Amino acid sequence: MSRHGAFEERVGRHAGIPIRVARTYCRNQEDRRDLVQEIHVNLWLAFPKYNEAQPFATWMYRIALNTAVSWTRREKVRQRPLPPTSTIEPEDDRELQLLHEMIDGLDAAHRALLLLYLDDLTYAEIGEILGLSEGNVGARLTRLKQQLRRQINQKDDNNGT
Amino acid sequence: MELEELKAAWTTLDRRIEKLEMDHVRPRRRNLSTGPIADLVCGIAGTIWSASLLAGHWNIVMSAPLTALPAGIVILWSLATTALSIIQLDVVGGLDYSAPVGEAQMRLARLRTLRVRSTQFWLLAGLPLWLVFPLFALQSLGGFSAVLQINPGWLAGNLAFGLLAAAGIVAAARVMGPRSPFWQKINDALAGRAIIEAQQDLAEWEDFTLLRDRVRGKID
Repeated sequence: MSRHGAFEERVGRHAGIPIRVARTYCRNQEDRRDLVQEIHVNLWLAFPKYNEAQPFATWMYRIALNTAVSWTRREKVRQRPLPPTSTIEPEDDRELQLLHEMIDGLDAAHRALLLLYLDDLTYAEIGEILGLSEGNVGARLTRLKQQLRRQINQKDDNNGT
Repeated sequence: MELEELKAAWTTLDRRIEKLEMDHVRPRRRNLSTGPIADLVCGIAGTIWSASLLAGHWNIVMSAPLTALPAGIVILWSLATTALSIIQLDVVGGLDYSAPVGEAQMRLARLRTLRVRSTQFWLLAGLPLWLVFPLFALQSLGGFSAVLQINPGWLAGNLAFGLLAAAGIVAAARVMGPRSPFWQKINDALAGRAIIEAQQDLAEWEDFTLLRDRVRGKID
């Protein structure tokens, strides 16, 4: 199989990773398309140096997150208002809207941590991607979950549910 | 509502979005080495040019040391530019987007700090160099001793122009900053905002990753 074919096949198996990462760091749909593309370009450029001993998904998460964090800083997209063309519709789940509000309130590092938690990765995998020990991942996630639960309860109280 | 419900919502919407977002995309790639390489070329060219001018007129320098001043300043500026660009290229060379996110982002923050320092150096050095470069050019083209016959009025005029140009750059950066990324960059560098932001990013990632040791001490 050609290098391009091998790349397409492997990236295709984890096609959701760049999109989920882009969703975590970017609310504007146009910007998100650019970011997804930039992630794919960086994946392609890094592919020749990919080490087979490493899980492909871990490698993809690292490149996607590094690209997204750098891109967000550069574009300052967090300051841009959400356009009406956004894929988040009013009838979308209340859970999802709340989740986005919470993500927007986090710094780049904790966004990455939350994304990996939402994607159901193990502590070991999260640590591998972010460069943290499992103990640190556990401690950070416990704090993050406590913070999110507080926010959820606050919202529930405000909505009278 | 529970955290697990949010997790489930995230997964379901993600599948729906995937189809929408892959339709059309615009390719774009930013090369982090372009700026440092341009600096390196300027630094090396300036060093070779000024050093060869000094070496070629060493006898005059010995008898009238003041004549060496413009070329001497250009050599110092060129060496500083070269050194700054080499340090930046070393950091760029070590950048690896497949490295753990904390490590790669700290390296990027260090690179941004260096880049801002380099921009500040260029801007701050611009004013004195405005006066030095015409003298240096005069020496190169009109004879090495020509600087000794310089009219003080010409010097004062150049200095005044340099000051006006500097004030113009500051004003342009303030006015054009919100509309142009290039001027915004200049404005942020002049105001010191860029360096503060880069250092804040570095501290943020250091805190995030360094807590590993402190937390491990408490947990284990």
